[in-house]
Amino acid sequence: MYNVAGKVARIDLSNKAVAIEPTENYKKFMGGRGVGSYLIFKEVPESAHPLSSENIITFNTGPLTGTLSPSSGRINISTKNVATHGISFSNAGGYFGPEMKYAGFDHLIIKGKADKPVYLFIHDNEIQIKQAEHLWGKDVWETEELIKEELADKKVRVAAIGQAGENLVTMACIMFDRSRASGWGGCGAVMGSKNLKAVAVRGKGCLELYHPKSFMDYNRMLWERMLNTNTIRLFHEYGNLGTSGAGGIFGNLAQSVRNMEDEVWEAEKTLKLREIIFKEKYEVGKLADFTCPINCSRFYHVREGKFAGQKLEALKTNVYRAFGTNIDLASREHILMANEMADRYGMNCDSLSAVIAWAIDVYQRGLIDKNITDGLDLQWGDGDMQLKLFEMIAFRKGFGDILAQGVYRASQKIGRGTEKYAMHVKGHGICEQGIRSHKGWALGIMTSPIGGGHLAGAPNTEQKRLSPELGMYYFGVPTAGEPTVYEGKGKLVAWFDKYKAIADIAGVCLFATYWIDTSFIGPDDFANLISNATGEKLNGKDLLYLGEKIFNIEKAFNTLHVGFTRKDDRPPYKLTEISISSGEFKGEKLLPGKWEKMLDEYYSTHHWDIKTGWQTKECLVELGLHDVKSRIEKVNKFPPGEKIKEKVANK
Amino acid sequence: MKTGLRYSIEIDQNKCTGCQACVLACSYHHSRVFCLTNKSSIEIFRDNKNGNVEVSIDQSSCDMCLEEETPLCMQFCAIEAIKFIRKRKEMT
Repeated sequence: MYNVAGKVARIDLSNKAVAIEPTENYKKFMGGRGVGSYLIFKEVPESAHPLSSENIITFNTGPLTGTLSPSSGRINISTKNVATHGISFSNAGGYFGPEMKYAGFDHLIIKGKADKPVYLFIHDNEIQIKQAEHLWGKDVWETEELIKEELADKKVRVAAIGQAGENLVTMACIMFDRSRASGWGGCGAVMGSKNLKAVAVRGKGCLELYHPKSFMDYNRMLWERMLNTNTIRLFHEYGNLGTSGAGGIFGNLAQSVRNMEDEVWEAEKTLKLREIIFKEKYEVGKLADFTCPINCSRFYHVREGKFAGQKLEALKTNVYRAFGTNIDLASREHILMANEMADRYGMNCDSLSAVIAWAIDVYQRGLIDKNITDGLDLQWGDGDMQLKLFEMIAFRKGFGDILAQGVYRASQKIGRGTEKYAMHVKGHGICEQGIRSHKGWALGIMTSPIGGGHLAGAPNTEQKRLSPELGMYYFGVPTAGEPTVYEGKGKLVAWFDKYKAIADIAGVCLFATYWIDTSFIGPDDFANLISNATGEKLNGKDLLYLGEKIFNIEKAFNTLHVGFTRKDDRPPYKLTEISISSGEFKGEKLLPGKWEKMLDEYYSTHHWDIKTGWQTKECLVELGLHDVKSRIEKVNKFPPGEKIKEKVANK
Repeated sequence: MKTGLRYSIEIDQNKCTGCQACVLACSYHHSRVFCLTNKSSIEIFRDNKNGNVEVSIDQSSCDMCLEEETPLCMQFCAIEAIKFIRKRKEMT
């Protein structure tokens, strides 16, 4: 196999044992999220609690990781989800993924639990398990510095957990290169439960290509194609914060306001947080992730005010929403400090915002009081209070201990009618903009196998207002660019389910794909790049088939481990009952009747059962997933109708 | 003392985003592989703590990709931070 490091490391922390196997064993699932999800499906038993030593956590690079393909620096993390108890996958940028591959490993499979805190040092085809008692209790940034000092190499790349991961906080994430998060599913808490503080990598190896010249020629064409788009010009000018995720350049696009109560934020608040102001006041440089032509990242210095002296790489749209609009907070300095503290403690901004915004929301509605909040007066837009809650959550202090369980469990524990204000999908907290007005976007978030988030099937075509002609040409859906239309969105989301899986399998950032711009990397481009890099002869259809297969493995994991059904793909109360207050989408909410029809279309496109939302035997057989079918058969979780049909056939 | 033309590649450190694409393009040019080692004439260190990017070019191994129309590193620099410099210098 070309363009792979060639090795997979199995690390058992209980016995401090390392075994090596060839990457070839997992060729069928290609790499990244493909191999990650397959491993979790195959090796994590249904009885395993996500925070038990039986759960495994995998670090996965893809066939394009570490190459000159645009934005090919992603590292995928797959594990059993702490919030939903279903599957979790998420990936991070930075430089860790390529470095791991150069160090000789395509995948890490970590199981067991170390008796004392440890970290892994992976370098030049070798894996060392090193003691980390001195690092326990340190935040992510301190940990990275200490490891670099200890290994006397400033080029070491570090993936670390902060105090939130150590304290098994449900929204704990893994941070790479200080500020890049693999955020979903409490993967930081899974590392914490294994007493694994960090993974450090340093690689001096090289990647060989199957057909170097064709690979380079194709990449040259692709870079040029991408650089000639307005999308990239906008990114270069305005960074991540200029995208629709943060209300667009002018802040007039749909947002996520006050625990997702609304999509329109007051103009005077919105204007305080425009990218242009951050640029003028704080920006000292533009930065990019590994081989990324988009360069959406910015480095800020805060020179005055309460947090003068702060230096950090920030500020993503998710952070803007999570610690700004969703908390009704328009203080730039507080948002930047919240960004830093979430990085240092190692907490996912979406699920952290979900639980804090919920707490303020239900306090304001009089459903909880100071007796529950430890005397805290929870007001919208209180930046100091937000930072205090971060600390209480990360260290599980008082009320923070309840919030540390995530919005779903915290609301279930407190009760009192607070449950219906908990913004979660399948038990995982969410914070998303435009979710009432953009129906396909909402469907992708609700049906995501990891419990919300927009990185599974959620399309971006509505935000881009794709023309009917282009919607038809690329996705077979003329309504792809019409936000408020329900029809066609089931089909559209099902397409993005399999397509976005390809990017995650390949190891490429979704920003460099069709998801953001149809001039970026599409299925046939991926096929060309992967074929020339690895020698596997593939076309776009083959890859979409693989994406569909992986998505079905993930769906099956959820059916087996949690038994999610159609009801778990429905939006939370606030989205169906409270409509948008003003603006272009005034009055919009998610209408249950239309939602059900959209779900029907979605399930039908995937060839799943409409009544239960479960997979059919037929669909799994068509995808060649016979082992998946056998596992589901054992627990009898196929649609009842199908079972009867089979019995009749047997007679 | 004679004077003559000298050619070199220069990278604007203040503009560079630290993405390493030029490093890989260079390793490909020299060895048809991708890596961040001395197979490349360019070395980039991205200081994540302070937001600085440090660039160094080994001019002795850089042949400016003579067989290419434009040096490969320049072809893969998204923000055009790399320049092909022609300077009149003293020669001994």
